[in-house]
Amino acid sequence: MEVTIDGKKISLEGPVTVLEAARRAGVDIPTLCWHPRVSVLGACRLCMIEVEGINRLLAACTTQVSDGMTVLTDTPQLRKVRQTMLELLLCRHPLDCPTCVKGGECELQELTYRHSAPENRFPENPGPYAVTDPSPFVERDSEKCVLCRRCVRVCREVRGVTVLGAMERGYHKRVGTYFQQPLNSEFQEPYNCEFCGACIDICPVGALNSKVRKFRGRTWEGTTTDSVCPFCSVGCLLSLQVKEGELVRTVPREGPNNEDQACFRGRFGTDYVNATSRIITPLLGRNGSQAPADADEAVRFAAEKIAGARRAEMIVSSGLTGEEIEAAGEFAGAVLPGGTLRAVDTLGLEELAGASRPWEDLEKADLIVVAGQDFTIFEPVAGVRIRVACGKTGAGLIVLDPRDALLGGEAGLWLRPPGEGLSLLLAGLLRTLAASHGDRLKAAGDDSFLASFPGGENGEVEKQLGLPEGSVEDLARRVAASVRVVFVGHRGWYDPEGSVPSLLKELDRLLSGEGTGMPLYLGRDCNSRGAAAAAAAGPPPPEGAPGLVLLAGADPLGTALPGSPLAKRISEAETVIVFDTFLTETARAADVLFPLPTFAEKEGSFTSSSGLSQQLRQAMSPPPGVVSLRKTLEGLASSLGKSLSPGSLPKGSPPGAASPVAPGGKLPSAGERFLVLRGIPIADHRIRLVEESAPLFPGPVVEAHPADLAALGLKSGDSVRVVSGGSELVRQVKADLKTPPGQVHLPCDPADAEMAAFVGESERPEGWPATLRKLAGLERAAGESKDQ
Amino acid sequence: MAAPIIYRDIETPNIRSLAVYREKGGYKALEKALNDMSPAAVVEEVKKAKLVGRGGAGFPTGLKWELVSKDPATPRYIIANAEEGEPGTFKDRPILEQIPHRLIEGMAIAAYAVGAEEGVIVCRGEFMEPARILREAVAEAEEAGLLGERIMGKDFTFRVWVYRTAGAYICGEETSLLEALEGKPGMPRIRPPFPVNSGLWSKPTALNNVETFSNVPNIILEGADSYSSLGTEKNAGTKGYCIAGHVNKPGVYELPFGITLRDLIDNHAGGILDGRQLKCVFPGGASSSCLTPDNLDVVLDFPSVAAAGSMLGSAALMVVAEPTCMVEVSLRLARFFRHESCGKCIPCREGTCQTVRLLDGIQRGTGRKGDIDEILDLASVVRQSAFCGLGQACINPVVSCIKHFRQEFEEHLEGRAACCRKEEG
Ligand SMILES: Cc1cc2nc3c(=O)[nH]c(=O)nc-3n(C[C@H](O)[C@H](O)[C@H](O)COP(=O)(O)O)c2cc1C
Ligand code: SF4
Ligand code: SF4
Ligand code: SF4
Ligand code: SF4
Ligand code: FES
Repeated sequence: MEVTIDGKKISLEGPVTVLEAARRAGVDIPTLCWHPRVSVLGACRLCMIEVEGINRLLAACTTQVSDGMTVLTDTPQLRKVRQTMLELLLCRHPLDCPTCVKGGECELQELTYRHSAPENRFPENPGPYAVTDPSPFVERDSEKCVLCRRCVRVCREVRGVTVLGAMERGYHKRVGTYFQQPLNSEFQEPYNCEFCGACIDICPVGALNSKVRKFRGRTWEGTTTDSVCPFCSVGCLLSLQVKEGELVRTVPREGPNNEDQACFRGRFGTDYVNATSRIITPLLGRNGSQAPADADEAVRFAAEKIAGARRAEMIVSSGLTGEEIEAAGEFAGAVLPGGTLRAVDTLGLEELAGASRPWEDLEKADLIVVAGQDFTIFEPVAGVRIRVACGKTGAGLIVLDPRDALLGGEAGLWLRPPGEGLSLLLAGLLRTLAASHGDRLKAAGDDSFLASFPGGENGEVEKQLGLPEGSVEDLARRVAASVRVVFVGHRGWYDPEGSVPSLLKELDRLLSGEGTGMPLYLGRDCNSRGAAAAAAAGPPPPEGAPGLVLLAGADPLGTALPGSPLAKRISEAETVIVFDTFLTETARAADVLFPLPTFAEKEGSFTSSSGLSQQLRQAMSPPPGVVSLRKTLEGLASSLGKSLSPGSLPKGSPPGAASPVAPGGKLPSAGERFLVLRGIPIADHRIRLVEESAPLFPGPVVEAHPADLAALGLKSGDSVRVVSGGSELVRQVKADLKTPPGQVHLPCDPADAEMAAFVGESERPEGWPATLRKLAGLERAAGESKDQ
Repeated sequence: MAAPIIYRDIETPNIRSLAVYREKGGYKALEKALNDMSPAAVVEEVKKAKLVGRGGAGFPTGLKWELVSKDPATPRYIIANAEEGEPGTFKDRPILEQIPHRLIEGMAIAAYAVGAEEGVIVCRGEFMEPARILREAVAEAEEAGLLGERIMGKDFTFRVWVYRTAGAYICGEETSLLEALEGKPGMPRIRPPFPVNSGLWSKPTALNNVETFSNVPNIILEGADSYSSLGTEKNAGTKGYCIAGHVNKPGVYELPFGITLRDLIDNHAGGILDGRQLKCVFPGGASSSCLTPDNLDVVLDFPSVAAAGSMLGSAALMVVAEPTCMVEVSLRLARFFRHESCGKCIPCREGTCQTVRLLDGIQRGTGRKGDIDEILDLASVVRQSAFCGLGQACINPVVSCIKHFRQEFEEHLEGRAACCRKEEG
């Protein structure tokens, strides 16, 4: 197609709007309601254009280009329209510019400066709306709203949440929530505001603001550094604004994993780096008697312990950078007697070492299969990528997940294998597909994998998982009918053995017919993939008592996930040396503790769920005396007369060493009422340091579907006893629409040690059935006093 | 003159019931269409009859149905627009309340023509009684096998639902109506795509006014030639004219397209109230420009009224006699639109607000010199830039009042008008 825009001729392939065409031709048409991330609305009318042969004005953002079109974008009439639109907006907008948080980034100011007149012919008369919303992170200032509805669209179309909507009519119109409730209120259940902040970013004016950053610095002050989010394995890129030694603002920036999105952890959770409770000097002495020590003293103490140990092991967090883990490995190999290096939170991920699959691949898929998820609060950006890809390409979506966490309801097929049944379902799918695609698998050179799964008829699997008859067949048929399937897996409660990554890998291999199966898989921490490649996984081999345990960044005592064998080892160790930023549960158990810098204070790289390695950049200097892990380890090594040396420890675990695990997951025997659904810890200790986030934590409760509660004569707030196998837990129960009927969800708040113990219980019955009983009066009194 | 087509037999007692409607030949047209005509032949007949939409725009109905039937996407839908939101319009309500089966029969024939299996009658929020009557009629028709599966033993399925929106003027606009029907706030969609290709749930949808559908049984039964023997060259058949205001006999009159305004006022509506002097007429409801007495001989059909500088719209004729204050009339109409603007786009949402403010100042005599021109200036921008028909047209009545009665506005502004002198205090 050939079009002429303001005299410039360009040719392009359709379908394309006049606005896009103009931008490609280098012609600037002002816009306000248009935004590249959301659907077109056509509400602001700033982008009006004239088209030759049409005797009315058209909006450039809603008009498709046709061949031979001649467009004018800057005529006296159009200038008049633009000026009038801005005058009409401004007369209803309070002119609070000097104190507005948006200062420096306000699109209304910019548009007015460029396109309006110095005097407004309409008298100033701003709306009567007050600054509202008691929610912890987002401030809503409806008075400043220009009703572009970008926030409404991003919340619905990109985040899938739909908390915001356009309310009322005409000059009463405003953006609001159901019944004017706070952004996170019961009215929004089950899809509450996630405080992702997408609406704040997309708002062109100061009508949506971050409460956390308010008045902590103007947008142009201090320094801004590009880095990577330290929380989850999606790997969002962030911009960190630092002013006078304080991290005052974090906003997402365009990145291959996140496009331009982030979540509440990445945006608001990063405030933890400002916490005053961090450790800035080494500490000596265990549990409660820990006292600041000078560096030399601490190094001397640690060196002595290392020199005296028979065997020592280094355990690293998957939240450390690849470079830090490398340093820990060099230290373990060159300095520690009989040293080993292990990483926590890499369960099952060795299988995927070295492979990568970009998130863009979702946009080449005709079917996306999501195996296990909770893309509401955790890794919501993964949910965004899936939702946006399906919206863009019309790809099919299948979700295999027991909980109702956004994507399920958006899927063409949503199977809800209960409890820990996901791997059983995936194995069923794999077996069924192998029957039809087996030759491909053979061609790919390996079908031995299948043999390691116990036999089983689909009917049997369906019965065990309580799924409708024919579900597995149906699932297999849909998968087989698609040309390009992309699997997205998510670590979660459902996969205690870590068999999902390898199952997904085999499925991918089977379908792609290539030797390199690679799902997108969300590990537990931001660098789980990197850690899995660099270190062996999980608890150390049990032979012999560990003399000396060193932990860098890892907090096995504080996380409620399986790790109790590890916890046991720590308590049995003669000496515990910890490197961390905060006094975590594990750090409290240390004999000597060395401070570490936060993510904002260091350089390095994280390998994300897609297998992509991304660079952290130092945005601020650490407090005096806090040095990098490598520096600390070098100091220790040199006091022992040694030095770190690369290659002293074999890197990673040999491929294929971890044999695929037979999937577990069975339904409870008759008579048991509930299955336990173990939640993911909603927040680690870093998020907890961000005070405003407290209302987001479920607190010490267990959750069940309202229908189940009604059947048991229970209501939210009642105390219940959850009994499973030999253990029990007394907690308040909360009605939760996300939890499927017949299951009880334990949110696994890491601050709730008792629940952590219950959840971490290794000797629980197969399938993890439980009963739920209301506490009687006396018992309740006892139970409640125990809660406190 | 007895109503020939739309309201035919309306005076027959209990014509609302299926039994009486059938006695009077009801559902014979559907039977004829199913037995003797192909769907394409039905579309052809409606095209030949030169039936145009009665919702306001006068779009050829046969062409609309043809576009729907040619879209390969399925399912397709039939929707009857029973919003009747334009002030002064009350022509659909008698159909809904008294001859609901004529509407249902018309919809069924449309469904057969375009290949739809489901239809919805979308009523304005306030239409509780009409909605109840419609539901009863639908149930009756289902019971009798006139709706449902295998209608009249033919391979034709059609079901009808009755839905009420929340009662906003904008919900009469077709795409807002669809949004409301889908459970969203009633605000217009971007067009194109038009509902004929992307209507309800983004599927091809034949959306017509209630009165439009009620013409269809006659066209099928009597044939297009008989139908188009009434009316004008461009607009065949009859129209339900709603005449209100300063006339002796306000009401709905079914008369052929092509009668004159004078004829309608003098010979049907009983002339101007109390023998007063005619001042002006808004021929197409609140969003039309007013016509002055010089235009009394304008022929009432869509093209002729447009040629006279206004629009026939829903044929809601509001007659204004001397000595009505035109500033007051303008202000009331402007307030209506400020209230009914959906608030989506800036020019309409804010422009209606400013128009009211300016008019209010003029009426009170507190405005600034130049405010009258300010209104005209703002109007030209709003008309050019508003997103939908509401905003594009809402300024017409005010502009036309200023155009024809500017002196009255100036008198008010200068504090010389006796009519609107408010008590001070
Ligand atoms: C602001 C606005 C309000 C409207 N209100 C109505 C209405 O109340 N009833 C109606 O039938 N059409 C109304 N229309 C016209 C419809 O959009 C649509 O054109 C009509 O229902 C199509 O039916 P027809 O072709 O049979 O006329 C309105 C249009 C606009 C722009
Ligand atoms: S913070 Fe996110 S979820 Fe909450 S309203 Fe804004 S966009 Fe929606
Ligand atoms: S709050 Fe901001 S983004 Fe939302 S409609 Fe108002 S101005 Fe637009
Ligand atoms: S989705 Fe993950 S990587 Fe992205 S901001 Fe949130 S926690 Fe950080
Ligand atoms: S013109 Fe008025 S009614 Fe139409 S979209 Fe704009 S604000 Fe809504
Ligand atoms: S950018 Fe086109 S109407 Fe707002």
